Amino acid sequence: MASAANANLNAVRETMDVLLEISRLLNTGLDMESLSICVRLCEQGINPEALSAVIKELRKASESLKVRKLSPNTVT
Amino acid sequence: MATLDQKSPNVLLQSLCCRITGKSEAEVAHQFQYAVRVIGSNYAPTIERDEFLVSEKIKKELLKQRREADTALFSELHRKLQTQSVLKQRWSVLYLLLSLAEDPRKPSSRVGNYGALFAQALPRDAHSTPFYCTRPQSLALGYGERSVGLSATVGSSGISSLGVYTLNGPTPTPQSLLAGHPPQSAAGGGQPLGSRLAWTLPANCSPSSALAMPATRQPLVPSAPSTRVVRSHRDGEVSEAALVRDILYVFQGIDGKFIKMSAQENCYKIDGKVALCKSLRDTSSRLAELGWLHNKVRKYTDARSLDRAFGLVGQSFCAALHQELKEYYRLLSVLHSQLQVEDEQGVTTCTETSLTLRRLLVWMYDPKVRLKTLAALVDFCQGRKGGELASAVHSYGKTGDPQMRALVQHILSLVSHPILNFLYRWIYDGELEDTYHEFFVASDPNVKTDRLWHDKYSLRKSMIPSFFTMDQARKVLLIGKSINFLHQVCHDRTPPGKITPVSKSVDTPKDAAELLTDLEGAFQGKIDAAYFDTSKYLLDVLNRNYLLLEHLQAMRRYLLLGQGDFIRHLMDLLKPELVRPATTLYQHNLTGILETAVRATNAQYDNAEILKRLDVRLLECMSHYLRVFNFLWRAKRMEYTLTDIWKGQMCNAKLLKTMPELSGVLHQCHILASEMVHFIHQMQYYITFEVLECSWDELWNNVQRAQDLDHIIAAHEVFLDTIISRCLLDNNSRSLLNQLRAIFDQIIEFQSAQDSLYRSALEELTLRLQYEERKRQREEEGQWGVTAEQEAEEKKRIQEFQETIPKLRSQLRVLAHLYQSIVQHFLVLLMTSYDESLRFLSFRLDFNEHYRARDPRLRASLGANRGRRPSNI
Repeated sequence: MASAANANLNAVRETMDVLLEISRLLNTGLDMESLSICVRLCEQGINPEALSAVIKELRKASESLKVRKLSPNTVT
Repeated sequence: MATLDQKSPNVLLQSLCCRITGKSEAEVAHQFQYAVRVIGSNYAPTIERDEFLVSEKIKKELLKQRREADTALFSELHRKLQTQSVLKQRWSVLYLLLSLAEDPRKPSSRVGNYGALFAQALPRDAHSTPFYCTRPQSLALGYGERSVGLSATVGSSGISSLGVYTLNGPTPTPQSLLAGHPPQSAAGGGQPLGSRLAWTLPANCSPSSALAMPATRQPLVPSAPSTRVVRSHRDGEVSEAALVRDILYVFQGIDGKFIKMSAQENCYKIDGKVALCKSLRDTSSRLAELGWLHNKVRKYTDARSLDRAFGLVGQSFCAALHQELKEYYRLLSVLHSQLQVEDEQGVTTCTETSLTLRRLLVWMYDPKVRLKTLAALVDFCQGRKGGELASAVHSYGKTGDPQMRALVQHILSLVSHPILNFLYRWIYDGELEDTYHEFFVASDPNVKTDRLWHDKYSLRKSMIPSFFTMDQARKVLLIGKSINFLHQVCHDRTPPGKITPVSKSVDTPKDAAELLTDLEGAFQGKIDAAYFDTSKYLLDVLNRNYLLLEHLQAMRRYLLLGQGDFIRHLMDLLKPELVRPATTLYQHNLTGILETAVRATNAQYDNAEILKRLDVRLLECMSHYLRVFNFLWRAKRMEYTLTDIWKGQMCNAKLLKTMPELSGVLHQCHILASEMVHFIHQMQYYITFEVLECSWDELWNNVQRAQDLDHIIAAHEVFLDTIISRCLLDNNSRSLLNQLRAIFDQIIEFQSAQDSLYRSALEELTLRLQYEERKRQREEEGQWGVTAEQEAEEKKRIQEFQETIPKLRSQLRVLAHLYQSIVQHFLVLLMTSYDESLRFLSFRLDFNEHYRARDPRLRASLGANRGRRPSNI
């Protein structure tokens, strides 16, 4: 029972490793945690197209936020 | 699966948002909401769910980046992944990674993808409603931002709102923008109008480019001077952007901020108080016309689409208008989205593609023409329905402008679709399902079946669409009427499909459109085919089962006295009845006599069906036939009477030779009788040959040639009319008929006069013979033949008889004189008759100019007035 759960856990870890490697290869910019969230979402049948769009938008938003924070003096 | 616990997607999404933006849950509420919406609205993936395809794409992507080693590495990893059974949606994960992939050599191009996404999201909501929901940019948009372009005080708010855009705006990098134009507000004030025009009138002016615009948007043209902002900095003047926004609302019939519906002038007007340069004011009022047109069309459809009594054709018309309006709204939504995008890009976008009034003017030109046509149609169709409406639409299709024609044709095909449906139901099934009285065939439910052919169905002239000819409409009416006649009167239960092969009916408006383009060809052909088949079938049924032609012939033979032996025999039998007064005639006696006549003559060989209908009817049934029959019967009876007169003369001539004192009277009688015989013979000849036979031949030919029941009915009516007018029974020849009647009366009088003459002459003759006989008898007995007393008595009686002769003579002379004067008058009337055959009759009656010699009137009319139409007599 325990060994079966263990094997399962191993398999999951291995899968995640492989995925992370692919993600790195493709230069997606996802870290381990985001990736695992994404994988879980995908497994629940969410449209990957939409998900990728959301991630891109989120990045854009945070980026522009940072930009604004970095350069408040240039505006005024 | 143990670690992939089943948290709800929302929770996962929220943690993803936090993770990527690096903020707390409260801070990312906006983003989270947006994410939920996007994912919710894009639930079904648009791509192939094929892992192999996705992996191939990844490899291609890597190869494109010239990373062959990495490609190999990916293949290896992918193979490893396939051995694991943890993931069920491998393609999905791989696809996600692929779409997030970036070329490491091109740093931070993460923003380029939005156009495609926008283009994909647009068609879903391409309506007039605002569409903030699915657009990625709307993530953090507040409503406050929308007022940027509207307010006249942008001067102060412009800069502060700048930051808000750039937070979410896809393209701009604010540093470069602001660095490039630090003195923007100062320098822009003097921007000349001309250069602004130059910027705003680029090459791509067609409306279709508006659709493509969001995708092809340039990130930024830094050197472009932002005239929009410039204008808004002028004090008191409304910016063009604000006007554009207003105009877009006005297009939908909503009052804008500056442009409002003016009730008393019935048009959209710019608020007079708003300071605005004249050209802008001009342009916007020209654009605002669209709003007015839109309102007009909209008002019509709104008012009518729920009105059920408006009928199917009207509903189709409304639907067609709606379709056009929908197209219009689609265009407006595209314009709106364009405006939206510009708002988000804010001050920076005075690019070649931004919305200006002038550009709108160009783009909206075609829609305006369309709306104008629609509004004109709506005006013209006000208060019309059914076929009338279709006619109205059709009349608008007669234009030289191909675009207008296409538009009207399209509407017409929709509008005429229900009419064609009615039509096919009618000509193939004979059914009329026209609840709202839109079809051009009307049915009167109060008419019973015996008047079905004549009165039940009629044409509604106003409802005949103008693209049908009157002839076609009449044929259509006839086809359905024939079918109904067959069903209800003939009780013929043949399914309509067997009478005429039903061609495909119109199922879609497209079929209707095709038919409309070929009205002369296919449509006419269809109607003709149905017409011929149905009419032919009806005539066949009438001839075969109902012996129509035989009945016609029977009427000719029995009612119009065509069957000579029968009529003669009937008259022989009826002679004792006919001399009695009319009140003593009884139907049962007459029926018996008729039966006898039928059995004794050739009529017995006639069809039983017809003989069944031979019956005695006193003064009822078909009035036309009755009148003609009466006339013919009377003429026939005169002939018969004269025959009797002649017979009496022949029989008595020899007997009365012994009475020389009578010879003068008898001679008078003979002359008068032959005059009458001549007259009646000519009359009979005229009636039989010139009137009856000729008309009958014509009728028979027409009936043989007839294509439908109406033709037969018409031919029969013509036949009856001709007979009636030629037999002097119509109103025009009433005086002629009176003369003729008087002549007939004279004949009867003459008959009775001659009868009494013969009676007294024969009596006298027998008395004389008896006297002679007695004288001889006594002489044989050896007595005196006569005594003086007897002789005196005899002499006295002879004397008395001879004294009556001059009285008789004078009576006859009066009779003859009267008769001749009537005939002369009749001849005068004939001479002046309009009918040629009647004038010929007068020649025959007076062939030896006997009457002409006597009557100066005849001489005058024969000479001077011949051939003229003397209306003065």
